[in-house]
Amino acid sequence: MDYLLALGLSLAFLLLIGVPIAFSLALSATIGIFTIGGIDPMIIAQQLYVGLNSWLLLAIPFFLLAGELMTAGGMTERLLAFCNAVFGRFRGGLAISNVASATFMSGISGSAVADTGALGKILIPAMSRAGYSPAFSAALTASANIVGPIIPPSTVFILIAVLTNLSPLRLFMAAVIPGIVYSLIIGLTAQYSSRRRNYPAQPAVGLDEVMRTIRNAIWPLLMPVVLIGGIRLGVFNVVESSAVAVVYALFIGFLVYRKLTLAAVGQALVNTTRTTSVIMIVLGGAQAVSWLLAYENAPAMVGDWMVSLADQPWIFLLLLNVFLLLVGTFMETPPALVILCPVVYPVAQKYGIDPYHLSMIIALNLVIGLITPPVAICLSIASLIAGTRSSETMREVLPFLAAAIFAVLLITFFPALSLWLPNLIGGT
Amino acid sequence: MSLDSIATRLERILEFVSATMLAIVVVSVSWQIFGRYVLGKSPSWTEELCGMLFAWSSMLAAAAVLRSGQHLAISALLEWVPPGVRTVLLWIRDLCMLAAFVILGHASYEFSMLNAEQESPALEIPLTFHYAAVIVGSLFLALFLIVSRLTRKPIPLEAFQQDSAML
Repeated sequence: MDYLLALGLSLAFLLLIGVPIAFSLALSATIGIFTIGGIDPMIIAQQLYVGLNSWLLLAIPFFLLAGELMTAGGMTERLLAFCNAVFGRFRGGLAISNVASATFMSGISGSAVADTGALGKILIPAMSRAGYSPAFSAALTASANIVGPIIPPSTVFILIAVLTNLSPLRLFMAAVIPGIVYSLIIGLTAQYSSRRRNYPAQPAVGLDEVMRTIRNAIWPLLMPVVLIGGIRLGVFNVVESSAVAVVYALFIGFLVYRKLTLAAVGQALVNTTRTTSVIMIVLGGAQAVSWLLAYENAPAMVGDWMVSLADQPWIFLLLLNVFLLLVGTFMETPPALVILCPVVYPVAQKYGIDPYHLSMIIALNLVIGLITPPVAICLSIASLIAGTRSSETMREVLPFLAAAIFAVLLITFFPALSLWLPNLIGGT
Repeated sequence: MSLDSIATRLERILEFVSATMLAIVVVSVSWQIFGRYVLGKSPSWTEELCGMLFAWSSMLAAAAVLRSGQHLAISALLEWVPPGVRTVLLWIRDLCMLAAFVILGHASYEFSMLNAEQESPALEIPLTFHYAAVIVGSLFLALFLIVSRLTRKPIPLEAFQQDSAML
């Protein structure tokens, strides 16, 4: 037990004084190893390399790169035009189009922050011009786009698959309905607010105009179908599908839309390596800590303690939701996952909770942290674009935050929402 | 040329190298699919090459983004304390980071020496080439940390950059 104390205290100290999470993990693992004694600290280097060198993790930079290339290739505007042609005619039309295009974008990019930026730059000014309050537009854009890491292809579920040995395809399948449920609830909330505030509808367009926007947006719309279908039919594996996504994005950007430039590709590559390296190094550090925890069988101990505290699964799930929302507020999703997964999955197993269902609960709670004040990265980016004070945006986000938490509770207490589709289509 | 601008140039070079490595990885994986369906056999070297390049790319880029404060960290306490206390805490932070880099570099050096005789399964190169990623990465991390102090530009708490938190 001494080593757990040493590990926990040193980790807390290092994190608080601002040592980057990756190096805090590696350093506190070293301290833990010295406390146990008799283990060669060389194991830290070995585990760090194991954390870095994973075939499945390659899907993360590839999906990020594909998303960057699609955005640079002019896909955002086309998706938006399509959504607006369909949904613009209703009261609060732009607000609904906002949620719909965020949902479609998430099938391509999978990055909440990047999507908030890409869609926000176009939608927030357009909504403000149409008479929506800028703070409302910013809050809505941020709330709609955090579905990015949920709907597949999703880098968050790749991470979970690596950390827990679950099937990435089955995780992708399980995430489809929860993602759509989330978007529906946010969309309904936006429509309700728009009605009360008398926000405008866009003029309705004819069927031929709708068809034209579909033809324009067909390539990005088909992308998730090609990827998931390809994996399901065994044409390629998950990592290969992410490479296919990059090639697909290059193909559309250069040959179909002809908007992509070599300079933009170079910039996308550099951006992707920056983002990925920061995540990878956290994974490397976390690998050392989770090796140490497993070495001394700590997750099982935490599990026994938890079961003695709350004997009903639903109490555990409720506590878990509160805990994860708190963690997500103060920590980014990847480090939160690498720290929590080795403990939470074995504990949930003791309660008989399906790991795929659990993954949905964890992912959704953590991404809601992106719009939970006071940290809220997505909200800050949207405020920056809207030029509103973040206090205003934070007030406007409250109804959406309540709706998001409602969605989490639905997904927590109705496991079928997560498990029905993967059970139907299979994929293990 | 000032130390600051030399370091900045070195960071750009490292980023260029790691972006190139990522590009090679994309091409290799695409080649693997192409090989399986068109040439009728999957090349055996792609998985190992990609894993190695990805580790190198991650370590080099991780060093290149250190000085601009793009690593994920928790800044709440540091923002809350008075400036004088913050200065002291930032020094402690940097010393802890330096300790981490030294430990990582040393441990991976020992580890790669242990495996120096062994060859990797597919590429048949010494395993040292794999583990050297962590050694070289730690060296660059330590170098950039020291430069940040020599140029009196301590690493900022958390740079608000879109691409540091793309997930």
